[in-house]
Amino acid sequence: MSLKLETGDWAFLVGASGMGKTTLLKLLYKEEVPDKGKVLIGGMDTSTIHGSRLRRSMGIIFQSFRLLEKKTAYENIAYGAEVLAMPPDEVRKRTKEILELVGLADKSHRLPGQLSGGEQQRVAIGRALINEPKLIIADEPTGDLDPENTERVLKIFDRFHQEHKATVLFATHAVDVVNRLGRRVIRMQKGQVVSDATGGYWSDDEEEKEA
Amino acid sequence: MNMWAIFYRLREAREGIARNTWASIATVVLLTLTLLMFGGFLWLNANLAQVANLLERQVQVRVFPAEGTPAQNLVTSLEALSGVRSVEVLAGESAYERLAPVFGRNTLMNALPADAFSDSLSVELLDPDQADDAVNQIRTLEGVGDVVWGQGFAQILYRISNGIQRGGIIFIIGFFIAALLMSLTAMQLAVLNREVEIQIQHFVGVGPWGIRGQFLMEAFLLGLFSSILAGAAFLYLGEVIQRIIISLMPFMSSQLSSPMLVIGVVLVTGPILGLLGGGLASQRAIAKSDK
Repeated sequence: MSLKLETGDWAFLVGASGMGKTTLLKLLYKEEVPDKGKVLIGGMDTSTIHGSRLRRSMGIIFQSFRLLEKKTAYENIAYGAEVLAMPPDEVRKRTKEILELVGLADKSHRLPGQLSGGEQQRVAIGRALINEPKLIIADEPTGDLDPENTERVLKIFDRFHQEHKATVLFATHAVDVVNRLGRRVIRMQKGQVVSDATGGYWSDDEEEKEA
Repeated sequence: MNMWAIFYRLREAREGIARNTWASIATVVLLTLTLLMFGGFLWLNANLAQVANLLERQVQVRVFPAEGTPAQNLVTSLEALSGVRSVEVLAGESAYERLAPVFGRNTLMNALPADAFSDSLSVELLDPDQADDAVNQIRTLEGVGDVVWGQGFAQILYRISNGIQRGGIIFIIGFFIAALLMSLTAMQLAVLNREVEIQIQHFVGVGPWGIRGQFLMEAFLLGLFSSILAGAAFLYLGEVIQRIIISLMPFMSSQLSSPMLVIGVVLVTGPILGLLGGGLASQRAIAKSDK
């Protein structure tokens, strides 16, 4: 399998469950190591870089929010920068900016249990974006969200992508989203890329057939 | 690790200790008890070994003449023996002066008649290692009643000291293992409680030692706190015990070793025990971050 993303690209990774989307993403952030072949990021072979160093330039978002229940929305977002030892002033400044970006400035003091599912996912996204990653890897981040929240989440990604020229690889099942945005669509089947086209179209039928 | 990393790790460690209150208290109590016993063992052993050593190095042998033999008559024959440096006659009355500080003058006067102590001879040897041979030679001399020397008592003390050392080491190792397991359990609880935090740190790019840092910091704080408690308790108890020993045996006052060195050892051992527990507990947590 060969796949190339240019800096600043936005690509959807689609395909039925079990077709290798998550494995491909894991190879990128070095949660998995390839048996053969190479994964190059920014021209560097990932086998030569420590996983933690690699992930520092990435924003990784999952379907599950993985929020800290005893920390507020503000603290959850700030935590992403604090663990990388960012000075407190910088943490405060960036957390405020991110809270604005994800539309939770007015709910910053709330605990995750006091937020809706969509809001919790936006906190998780904020935490992934606070370190201004160059590559965003999103593994079904809208899987548990309703259409309205899915739309909001996509807008956040889009704005960050535009403002920071970040590369986005977005694995999803959301057919509507993929087709409406008309961006590059990489379709995977049994661990292989079966189609890769900008403005690509993907139908429910195709997914059903694959499944 | 920069200044802010330490600041954040300290904050997380403090929150972690507060979150696992009971496990933290149990760890501190057990660590403190272990350190107290460890310190007590070290101190007792150091003192016994010191006194035994002093007695062993005691090269003076006391010779009591047989009944009817004046002490002065033995001086020449004792001085002629190989291994003898000097011989001195001690008047019986002087024994009162030496024992008075230990037992009290009034007690001695009441308990013993004035002629209770006969004249004796103090023999100083050239080499304490040859004391056995010298004492055997002295015993064969005509007119010698009894020979008393410190090495016999020193050997008993050494035997006690060795027994304490052997038994104590086994005992302390047992307690060390228990303390280590307790610290390990507390830190494993901390690791379990922070599974999500570990995942977040892993995915934002914190390295294995960065993830481990907060657990090591937490374990270090628990160990340090325990060693400070044990050190303070030892300082107080050490003084009390020292006072009791000196009131019972005033001649020991210059022989007892200060507990300060032991307290220093205790202060260092606590954090090491904590760090060992934290290190082992966080090993599994960071295993997958090590790619």
